[in-house]
Amino acid sequence: MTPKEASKLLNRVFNFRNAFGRKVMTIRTLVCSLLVISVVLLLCCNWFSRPPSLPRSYSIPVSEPSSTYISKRVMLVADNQLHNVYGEPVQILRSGLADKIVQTSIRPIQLDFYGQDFLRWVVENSLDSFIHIGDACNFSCTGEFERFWKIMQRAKKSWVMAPGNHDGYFFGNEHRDVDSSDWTAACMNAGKPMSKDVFVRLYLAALALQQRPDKPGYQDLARHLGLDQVKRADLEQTASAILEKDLNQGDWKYEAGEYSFLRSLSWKIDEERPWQSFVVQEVDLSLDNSKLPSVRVIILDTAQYDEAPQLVPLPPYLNAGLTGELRHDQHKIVIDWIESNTDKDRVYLLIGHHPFDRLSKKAQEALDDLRRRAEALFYVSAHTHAGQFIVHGRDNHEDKWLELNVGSILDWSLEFRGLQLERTRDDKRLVLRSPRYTMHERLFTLMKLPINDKTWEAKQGDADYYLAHENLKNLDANKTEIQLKNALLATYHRLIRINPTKAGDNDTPWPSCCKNDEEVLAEIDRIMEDVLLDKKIKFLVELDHFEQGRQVEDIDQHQKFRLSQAIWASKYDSVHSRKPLKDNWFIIFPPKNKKKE
Amino acid sequence: MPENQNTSPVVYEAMNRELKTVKDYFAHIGISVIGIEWEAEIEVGTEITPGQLLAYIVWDGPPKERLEAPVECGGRIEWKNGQIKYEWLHLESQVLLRLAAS
Repeated sequence: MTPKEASKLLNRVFNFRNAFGRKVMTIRTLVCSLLVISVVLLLCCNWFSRPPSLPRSYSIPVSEPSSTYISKRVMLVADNQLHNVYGEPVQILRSGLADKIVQTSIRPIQLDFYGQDFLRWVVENSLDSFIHIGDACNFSCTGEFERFWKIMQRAKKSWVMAPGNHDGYFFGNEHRDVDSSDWTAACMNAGKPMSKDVFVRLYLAALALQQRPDKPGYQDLARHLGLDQVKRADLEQTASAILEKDLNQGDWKYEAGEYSFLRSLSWKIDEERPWQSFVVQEVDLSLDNSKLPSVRVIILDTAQYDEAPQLVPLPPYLNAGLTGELRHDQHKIVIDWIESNTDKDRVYLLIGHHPFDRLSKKAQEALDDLRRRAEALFYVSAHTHAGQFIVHGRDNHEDKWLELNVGSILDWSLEFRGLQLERTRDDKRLVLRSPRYTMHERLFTLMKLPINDKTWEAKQGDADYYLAHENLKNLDANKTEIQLKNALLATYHRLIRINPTKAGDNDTPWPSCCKNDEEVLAEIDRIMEDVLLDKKIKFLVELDHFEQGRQVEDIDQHQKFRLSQAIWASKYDSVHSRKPLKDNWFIIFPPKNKKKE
Repeated sequence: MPENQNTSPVVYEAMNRELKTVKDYFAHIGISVIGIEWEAEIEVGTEITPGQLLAYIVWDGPPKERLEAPVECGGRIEWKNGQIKYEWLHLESQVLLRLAAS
């Protein structure tokens, strides 16, 4: 059929006539009408979907106003997604094909491997306390949480966290039996699957292990839990003690006169229905000055569900990655906390992992209720990895409220923020000071990273190229995992090649095959050629032990190398190609004679 | 470099007329700075003189510390930093004020 014939046919079909036989609609008029309707609909959608503005009474200055400080400062970090790179294949969810649908299903192996150095750098270099807004882990394994805890242990002050959907649910989506083959495979060499009840127990242990003479609140909590006699800082052992003591439900409040970052804690560990387990906390940011209002932060658990979250969210089930929830028992506890605070000038902030728009209707109502009761200044969330301010409420209404969504410290643009409150000197209005920092800006400013060394950066064609995972299209998780493990082996190869082990250190935990770097590098080459996944995993675990325990010749370079790798992996992953981003200043072109290549 | 790297929180660099924080001072103390509370009159256009009280450093824990204009730091304020990164004073020196050329 020619286009002309097709047009005639369509005209005949749409050759509508009225009662007098007059033509009322032709194909042309129909198309025009549809176009007009589409434009009108688009305009309407645009009109209705336009994000609301803040009311006139808010000011958004770019410089710090003349003000006095009314709170201590905390650092906000989120979504570091610590991922077990030594696991076994996970069918479907970790196949090359799945990554085409969900971009974060597979990250560059270098980002999984080096990316936690970002969190570690911030924690080690900050003098402030931390509030982590969830997704400390990725698969949700006890070993992932333990590695995370070891990083947070380096904080000079206190830290707390809001549970995220990856902290208790398999791959952030669903509750599964902890014996399920996929979850067990994912957690191979990283402890056990961490269901929500296990997470709460481990987290309580992590809080108790913060006890120090200069942290009376944490000491008091450890005493309350009967864990003040814990000698060794062993997370697993402390969590086992909580299990033995049957501390499945409890409340704690710090009521002594001294300052404590953590003020209140309430938890439930439900082994029958792990998804109903929760931990909710109250943090004190007040300054030591009775003339100033008290500033409290309530850290909600938005990963507490009525029904076990499922991958396919058919009602009444939710997918924890898509929707957050909090139950009535947690809601009631927070109401009690708010109502028992008699300070008239108190200021409350609310924090939870899921953004307000990603909460179930019931949870939104609960959060709204808490927000109103506490007259909370704003809500802080994470989860999106993007980070932004969100205005809630209808336009032309004064009752709008603000949400600060904090981006990921792992995925570009590697965000974290400070948070503190001030009060203007003249009219005593509250001021939020929340500078946004990015790892790449901080590392460039303070350490001139990443280092532009030809041998440091992996390029296209290299076995450890950061975007090699983009070419994985296989539905077979086993084949996908073999390729990822090979990329990880190549990553270790570059790491050891460029950062040699310090000679003469008798404590170096060499892999069983080797006694020096050359032998290790040769073994990596050999294992990469081997077709067996088990052998690769076994050797990688040895390499992990080796890297964690060895002394390198140049400690400073070693740190810079690792951070540079993480920056490149995150940056190129964000645009799916090795290219400059819009804020890059310099590009070195190839030599003239090689340009044609 | 001036001598008082560890004994004073700020240093005045006469060459570029900048009053800067001294990172070693903050690193040595090792306590978080809540903020710098400026005296009300310390704004762009104000004339300041050496020894004048400019602000208080609010540490995370009392007492506040007086921040005075160092020797030679006198003149009209041309620029005042409105985005001081208190989080990083122990790791990077930051310009607080710039004076106008006389």
